[in-house]
Amino acid sequence: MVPLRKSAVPTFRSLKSTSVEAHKTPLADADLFGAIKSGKHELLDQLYIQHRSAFLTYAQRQLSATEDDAADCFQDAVIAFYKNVVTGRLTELTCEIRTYLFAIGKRLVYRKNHHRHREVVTDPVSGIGMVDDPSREVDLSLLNRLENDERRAQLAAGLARLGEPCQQILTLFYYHRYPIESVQEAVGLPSPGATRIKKMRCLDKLKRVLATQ
Amino acid sequence: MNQDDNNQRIDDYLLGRMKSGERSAFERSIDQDESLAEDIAASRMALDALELAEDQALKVRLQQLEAKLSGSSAPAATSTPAAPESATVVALPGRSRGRWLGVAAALLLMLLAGWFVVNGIGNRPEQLAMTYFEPFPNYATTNVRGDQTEDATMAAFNAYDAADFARAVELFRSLEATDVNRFYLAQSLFAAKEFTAAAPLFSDLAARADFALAPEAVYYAALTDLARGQTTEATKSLETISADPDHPFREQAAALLAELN
Repeated sequence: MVPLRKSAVPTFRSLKSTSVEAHKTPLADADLFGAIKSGKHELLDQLYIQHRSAFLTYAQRQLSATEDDAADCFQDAVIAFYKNVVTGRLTELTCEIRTYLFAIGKRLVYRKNHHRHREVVTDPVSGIGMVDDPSREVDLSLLNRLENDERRAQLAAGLARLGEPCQQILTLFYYHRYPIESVQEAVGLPSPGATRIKKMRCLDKLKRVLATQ
Repeated sequence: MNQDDNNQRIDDYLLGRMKSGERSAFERSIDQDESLAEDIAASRMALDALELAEDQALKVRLQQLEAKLSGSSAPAATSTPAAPESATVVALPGRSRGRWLGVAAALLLMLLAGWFVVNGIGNRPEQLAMTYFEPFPNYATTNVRGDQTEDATMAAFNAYDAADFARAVELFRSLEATDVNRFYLAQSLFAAKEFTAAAPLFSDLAARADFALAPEAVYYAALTDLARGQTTEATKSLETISADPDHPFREQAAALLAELN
């Protein structure tokens, strides 16, 4: 039986809130990593605030990125870091979180520069190709699979037809990797068995909806 | 392997939880089983859609945070991109095949039911109800292979999975009367032909808006009415079910109505 996450289960709405709720005393990397791993998704704000300025400066000076591109890539880097943590691709920190974010962000800037045919100033300390380059773990396969805007729109439209609470249940289980008991608590279902049944039916419904898109 | 085990394996595969040996074996199964391959493809597309939407939601969250930090105006808080009005629908492989398999299954069911009618068996409502009854798959528990411990709930569901319905009835009656436990108790009672005992359970569960299997309970309540000779009530329920395009037992209800009419 997968244990419940130790932290209090945040409401689904809080995942989409925009309030800047940085902790007054930023958590140390190990604590922040552990907290995100245990389900405190709202700490992504703190992660972003802590490292954003440094990355924007670095990306503009060293990687020839525009400010907008640098911010865009850093946002994607934070999201990629989060997904690596919850999916278990990143189980422990072998370097500072900033190093990890910079490595991912750098790779995304290179990608964006390539798309824009922008020449890149060689970054002698880029670390690209290093054996322990954490950006190697970034899964860009979804970006590559879904660069077709039309296909992305079809999937988005299909999901919009799914409705609640199915979208909430499936997102908590498959994206945020909540154990079934945490999904039950978040959605307010009576039991893990009922939650499992509801999840199964919601997934079947989504598959039927997408098949008709 | 029951349906819940199958769903668990698919989840483990898609979420990267399988060890490499197990993963390789499962991928060989996918190569050999077309319906499994279709299921995996459809599930993967569903997960892609979820990932896309939540990536976008987090992106919007961070964009709005960036806007506040940089002092510029916040971007529009759209969580998902709008679908184009004239999107080209890409035909997905296997979907029409799946639809025809469902129609073929319904036709086969009708033929089988017709055979029973010709042989004088299908005239009896109870026999007809039993013909259209199949115990609902166990989605409530996840069996752990090799697990020697078995609490009361697992014992009840194991008896159910083993089609030992008399034992399952006895065990479910000893459990807490949750909706899920009552649903599977009713299933076990029906399978053991204790229709009078099953009827109030299915009727109550069918009326519960917050119960995930309420639509299924409506169908089984109709079967229970039929088994007890209450053909008029059963027909009325089955007509409602067959008219609902989203009902999971729409095809079965339509086939049964054809028998009754």
